This record gives sequence, C-alpha cells and structure tokens, in this order.
Amino acid sequence: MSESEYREVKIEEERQLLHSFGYWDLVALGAVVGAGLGFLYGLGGGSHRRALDVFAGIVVGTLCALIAGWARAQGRARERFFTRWAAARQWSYEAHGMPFEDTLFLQSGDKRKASDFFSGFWPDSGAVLYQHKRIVKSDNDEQVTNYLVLHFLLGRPLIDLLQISPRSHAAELGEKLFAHHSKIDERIELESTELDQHFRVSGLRGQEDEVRRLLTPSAIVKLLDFQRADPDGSARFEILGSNVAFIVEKTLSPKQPQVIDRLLELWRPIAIWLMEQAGPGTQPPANAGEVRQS
Amino acid sequence: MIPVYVVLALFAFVGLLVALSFNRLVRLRNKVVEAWRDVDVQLQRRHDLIPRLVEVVEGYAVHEKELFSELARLRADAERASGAAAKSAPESELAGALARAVAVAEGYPSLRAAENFLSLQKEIAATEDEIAASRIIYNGNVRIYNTHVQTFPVSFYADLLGFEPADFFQAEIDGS
Repeated sequence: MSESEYREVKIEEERQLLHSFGYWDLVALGAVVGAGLGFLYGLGGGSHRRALDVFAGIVVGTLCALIAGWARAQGRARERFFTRWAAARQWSYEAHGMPFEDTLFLQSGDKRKASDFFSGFWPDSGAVLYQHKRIVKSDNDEQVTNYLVLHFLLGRPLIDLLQISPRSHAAELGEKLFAHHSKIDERIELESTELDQHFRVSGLRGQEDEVRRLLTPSAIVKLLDFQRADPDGSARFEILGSNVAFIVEKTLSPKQPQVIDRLLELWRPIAIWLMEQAGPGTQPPANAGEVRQS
Repeated sequence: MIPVYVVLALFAFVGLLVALSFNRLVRLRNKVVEAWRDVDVQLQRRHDLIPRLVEVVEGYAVHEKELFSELARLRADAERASGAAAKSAPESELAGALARAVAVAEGYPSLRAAENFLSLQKEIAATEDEIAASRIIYNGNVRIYNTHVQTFPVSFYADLLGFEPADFFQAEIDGS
C-alpha cells in the first residue's frame, strides 16, 4: 500500500463525509449556534452592529463545524488506511491506547500521549511499535515531540539500566562545565572510537562491567551497522530490567508507512540479539519472519 | 613590544593546539590498543578451542591425522606471531583450517549427532563471530587513528611525539 492508496482512502472518507446528513446537520448547527452567540455578543450595540455580529457568528460557527468534520474525516481515513495496511501484513493495529512508561526516556516529559499501535510484526515476541508524543510545558507554551517507539519485554532482566543515545557535544560540555553528575547517568566509553563518535552509552553508576559484558564486539558492530543505515542519527535504545525501548524522533504519516518497515528491518538484528541474550520467554524476530513467510 | 606579545600569543595558541591534539592522539591510540586487546582475547579463545575440537573429532575421524597436525602447526604459528600485521596471515590460515576441520567432522553422521560436538560447533561459530566483530572495531579504530596521524597539521608533529600509524588486522579466508 502506498501514498496513492492512502489518497484514495482519504478521498473516499471525504466523499462519505460530504454525503452524510450528519455532517450538514453539524454545519447547520454550527451556523445556528454561531448566530446565537453573535446575537448575544452584539446585544449592547445598535441594530446594525447586532446584524454584523450575527453574520460573523454564522461564519465562525460554520467554519468551525466544517473544520471539525474535515479533521474527523482525516482521522478516520488515517485509521482505516493503517488498519488495511496492517491487515495486508497480517499485523494488528489500534488507533488509540496508553503510552508505555516503563523506561526512563518514555517517562520523561510533563505529559505523554500515544497513538497508532502496531503489533504482530514479530509474532510471539510481544513487540509493539507506536507513535509516542512527549509534551514538555514551559511558561505559556507546550513543546510536543513525536517519537516512533518499538517496545518489547525480554524473558528475563538483562541489566538494571542501559541507555544508548545520540551523542550531543553541547550537552557534554554543559556537564563538564557545571559538573552535573547523576546517579543514573554514568558515561561508559566502549572500545569502538566510531561508536563513541555517534552514541553516548550510559548506565547506572558502578555498573560499567555489566554494560561491557552485555555490549560485546558483535553487539557494538550491530549498533554501528544501524547507525550507518539510519540517516537521521536520532535513534536511542533503552533497557531497564526486562523492558526494552528503541526510540527514534519521527512523526508517523500514512503518506509514508514504509518508514515502519524500514525501521523494523534496521532494528531487527539488535532486537534478535537482545532476545537471544535474554534466553527463553521471548521469540526472536528472525523466527517470526520465517513463520510469516511460510 | 607589541610584536613580542603577538609572537608570544601565537606561540601560546600553537602550543595549546598541539596539547589538545596530543591528548586526542593519546585517546585514539589507547582505543586502538584496547580494541586490539579484545581481538587478542577472541583469538586466544579460538586457539583454546582447537585442542578441544581435535579431542572430540579424532575418536571418530581416525583418517584425518594430517588435518589435525596441520591445525596444531598453524595454531603454533599464530601464537608465535605478535601484533596485528604479523598475526594477519597465520590467523587467516588457521581460521581456514579450522573451518575445514569442522566441515570434515560434519561428514561423520555419528559425530554430527554427538552433543559435545554440537556445543563445540556452536562455540566455534560464536567465537568466529566475535573475532570478526572485534576485527571490524579494531580496524575502524585504526582507520580513525591513522587518518588523524596522517593528515595536516598533525602529520607535522605526530612522528616527533612518537605517534606512528597502526597496522590493520587483515582477514582473508578463501572460500570458507
């Protein structure tokens, strides 16, 4: 399924919307409510002013109803497209749900929202890919960042905490200047210069050996392979006990659903390796792929 | 007086740059050494697996004495060599011979079903994977270090400060 197929679904939804009585009822209701509010607003003024306010109310009410209907049609088109797209791959899709909050990054932000949950791409693994919204509030503003998150549980806890995040030289300079050290954020330099250039590996203070034991040379090479194939360089990985989250800053769009396939393909070797490390309890996606093909 | 200050400031600036560059060179060289240590550990694991493989296989494959003695000879050669450049050829030959030995062993159905052989086979495959990964990391570190040492302006003083390009660890296994 491609962008043209999404356009077809969208046009179909918009056509249905325009032909539904409910929609025009809503538009009419919007105009009436707008007119009423305009009338009330213009009560203090003369008759000329009152007529203008009623007219403005009708226009605003009608526009609001049109936009609300159009937004609903877009939402429905998105849901229908993703449901079809997932079904074509024998996956499951849920448009709404609660965000995962079982790793530190997924807990960050003042508020979190989630949508577009895909599952079943690696049968029996319990893996879910979804759109995670992190909302950070400042004085009069809200900053929303969209992430695509792959979440799964391992058969047993692998490590208390491991974070692999894109390296930010500015943040590191800030840490050095202001001597900011937290208990959960010890930077661990592994043997690969290339990995150090792109990622910051950190774990719990005093658990460096655990991180080194887990990140064997072949694991490092898998991360480097991922980094070379990922053009954005915004990917991060987090393990907290048996909870695993792979995160990339990206907004999911029905116009480009192939992003999901590409990310899953890139993430798969690392997920397989983690599941193999954890042993029984999770089904490595390599087997899942074979099952799907057969 | 002003030109003297300018010259001093220039010297101080150049000195600072060299000092920063020196620290970076030390860090990069240490990374190369660290990565080589990893390669060495994995190669040692490979060497340790050879007597175990011979022990498991020779009971079944009595006609393969020549292959076993070749393995022993290549292992001794590889252990004698030191450093990435010197180890490249003997380790490649040893890896080839080890792959051949495993392939020969797989030709014996009773051995193929033996549990100790199967676990050893898995261990050999895992070790070879780790060797390949360690080699990639080591060669990556060498590439970054050598690029730094051999490019301007570091190339002017790297040699004087005792930083020489490092050797890559090549692996050429024909057809295995």
